[in-house]
Amino acid sequence: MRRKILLIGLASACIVYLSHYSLAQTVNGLVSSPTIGAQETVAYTLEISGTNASDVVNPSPPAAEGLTLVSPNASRGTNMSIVNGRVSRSVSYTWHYRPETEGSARILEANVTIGDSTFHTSPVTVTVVPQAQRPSPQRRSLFGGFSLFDNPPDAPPEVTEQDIFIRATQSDREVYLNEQIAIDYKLYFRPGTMPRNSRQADSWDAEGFWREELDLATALTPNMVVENGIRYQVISIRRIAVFPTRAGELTIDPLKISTEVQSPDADPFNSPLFSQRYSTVERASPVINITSNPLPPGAPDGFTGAVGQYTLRAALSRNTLEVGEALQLTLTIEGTGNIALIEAPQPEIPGIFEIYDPEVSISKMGTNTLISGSKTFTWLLIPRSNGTLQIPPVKFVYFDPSLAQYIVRSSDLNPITVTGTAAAASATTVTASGFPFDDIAVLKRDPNWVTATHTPLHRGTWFYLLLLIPVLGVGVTAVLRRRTTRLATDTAWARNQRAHPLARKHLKTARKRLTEGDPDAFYAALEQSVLGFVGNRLNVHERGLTRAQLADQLNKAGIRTERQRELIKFLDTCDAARFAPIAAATSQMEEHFAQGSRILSTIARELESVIS
Amino acid sequence: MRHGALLFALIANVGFANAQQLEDALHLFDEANGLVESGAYAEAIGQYHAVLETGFASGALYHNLASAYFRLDEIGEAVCYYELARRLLGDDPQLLHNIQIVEAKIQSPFSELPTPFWRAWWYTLFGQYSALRFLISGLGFYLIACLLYAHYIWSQTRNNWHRRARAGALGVGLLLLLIAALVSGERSSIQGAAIIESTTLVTETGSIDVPEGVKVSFIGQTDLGAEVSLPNGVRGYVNASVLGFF
Repeated sequence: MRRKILLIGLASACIVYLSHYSLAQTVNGLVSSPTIGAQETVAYTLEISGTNASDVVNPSPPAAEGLTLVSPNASRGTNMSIVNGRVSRSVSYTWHYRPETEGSARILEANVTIGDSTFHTSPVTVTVVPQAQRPSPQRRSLFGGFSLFDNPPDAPPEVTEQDIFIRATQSDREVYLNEQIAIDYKLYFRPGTMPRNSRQADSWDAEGFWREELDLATALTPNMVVENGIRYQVISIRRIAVFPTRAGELTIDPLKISTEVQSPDADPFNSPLFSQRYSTVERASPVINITSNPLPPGAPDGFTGAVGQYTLRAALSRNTLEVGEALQLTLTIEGTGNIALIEAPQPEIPGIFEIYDPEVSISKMGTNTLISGSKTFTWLLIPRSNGTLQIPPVKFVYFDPSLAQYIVRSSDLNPITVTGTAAAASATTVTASGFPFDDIAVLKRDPNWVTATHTPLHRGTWFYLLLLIPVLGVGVTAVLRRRTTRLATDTAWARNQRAHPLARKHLKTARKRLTEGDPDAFYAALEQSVLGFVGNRLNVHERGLTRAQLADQLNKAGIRTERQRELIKFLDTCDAARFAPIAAATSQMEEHFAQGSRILSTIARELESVIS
Repeated sequence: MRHGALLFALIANVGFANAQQLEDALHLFDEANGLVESGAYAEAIGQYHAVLETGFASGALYHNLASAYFRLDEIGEAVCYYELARRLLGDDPQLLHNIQIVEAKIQSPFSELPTPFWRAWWYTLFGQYSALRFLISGLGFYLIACLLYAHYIWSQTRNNWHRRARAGALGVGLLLLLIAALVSGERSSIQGAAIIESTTLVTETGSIDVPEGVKVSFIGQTDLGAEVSLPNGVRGYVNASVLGFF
């Protein structure tokens, strides 16, 4: 008994729950056909779901433009169904309208009051065409549809653009360069059309865009919607994320499909053997126009064109290792945007590391609405030297279109401690010259120093000196040669040239004899010095020259008389001293030496002045 | 006498200081070589630069410095210093081998314009010898010519062979000295530059990515940056800081 009460309670709770679950109220205004003939009527049904009929205040028929209400009384119907445990209740009110003229007519919004709430429907447009354009009324004969002996059945009603069409919805119409746009192509079809064998009819292109396909549900379950008073089933046939690759006005081609459908107005009994009659139709979505704006100026350094919303993570596989061991630097960029085209950031790896090209992996997520995911760059680093090394913070720059600004993400890394020393590289093979086959020969030992700042030859003074010295040598040789030649050919000049040296030589000898205490030789040298000088300068042979001849020559040379007398007197003194029986004293010789020197210089000066 | 002593002291002092610097340079050079052998390339590079700061350089120093940079995968610097080494070492087989290895690592997308014939001839004839060799040879011929002239002046020899010998020695001597000056001038001027950091070359029509290690011709510094010419002849501007001159 207690179990029965429990079961009844549970069942009641389920019913209450299901009833509550079904209480989502919707009101739709539906027409029997969007296109009618001038002599036909259109049924307008106000379908109220999710409520009990008792809660609905009887609605009034909606007003119409171009249509006349046939009868204000509505035919009312109720429906209740349980599908997969879901209870659905609906109540409907139907009115008929007759067209007044051909053309476009409208049934305005209807107002429905359910309890305390009032709902409004959307106006519905109906196209009224000449009756001749409408198919003839269907025969309702029991056998008429499939009689083998009767006339062939009438052609089924044509499938119109209102029966099946493609609509494209896009996430945005004006975007930045490389900003993501999601486009959803949906096929709308009336329930009776039952499309099958659908395929893309033509190539589809989106020039100026990078494209990524978004995932679709593997089992396509149509949704029911009401558009302009007509109930449609809707399925997504293609979802695409596009990224404009250039700025400007861009166009995306229509998506065209070809599908087999049957007319929603066809009578299933009006076909042979009740077979459904399909016809092939093509439908195309509208062209999509996108305005792509260039990115604003002032992009920070390191910006490579990434647009979207991203995060950055950087990690090292290890922080302590030995020279020659490997570690990995991993950068992960995660977010929403064109993940595939994100370029690798350029971490500033110290030169001590041997670095290899990064391995790149892409992981896409949530690809049914927008492209998002992560891109991972992994560098292999091998230190070639020891030390504590710090890789500067890794930066990633992108443009966030929602904020309309550039964002710089940065991620710090811990220092790396490298220990040990590297073994010298050893090559397994060597070239014919003895160098490693595929490696450098590292060291050269002999420095052979030069100055670090090398001055070119033509800017060095010593270069010109080196050139000049030999030329000077040649010049000196020429001068010496000329002097030698003149000495040999011009006796007067030669004696004149020799006068001073010989006089100095004899004076030197006289000084020597004075020191030695040899008066004879002293006075001979002193006399020879003075007399020889005069003879050389005047180009006369002094040996055997009498005093008178000497005075005559001096007179010719323009030497003053008192100077002549002084000279002759000095020569006489020298002769007297040489031949005197008593040798002259040293002091006397020194006095005569000084006198001789003075006379020599005096006569030399006078001769110079006379000659010049 | 006093002035002579002072001059001698000054010369001796300068000579002593110079010898001390040279000894310091040699010491640092040996230390740097030891660091290279132990794999401490970054420290070795610092030591080699310390040698250069003493005012001395050598082909071996530039060579070893380039090798250390190469070990650290700094290809641009390696190219630059190997080229500096080539100026002093000429066609040293070890240097040429290393340059070949380094150039194989450069990801250069540029084809190279053919070398002008006169440049190839010049290099074939004179590129393998230092300016000093030409200088010494030239001075030798020049001295011989001067001695012959001096002999001619002194002895007044009227001899055709003597005249030809004088003219020939003088001509050869002056020619060799001219070549020495040209070689010296060429090797002490900037011959080019290597891209030491991947960069973008801005041209009149757009921009070109230039990888590290590519050798370019330096044209001059302008307001737009350093004007360079790529191996394929395309001219453009780069930031001067990415150039390593040699």
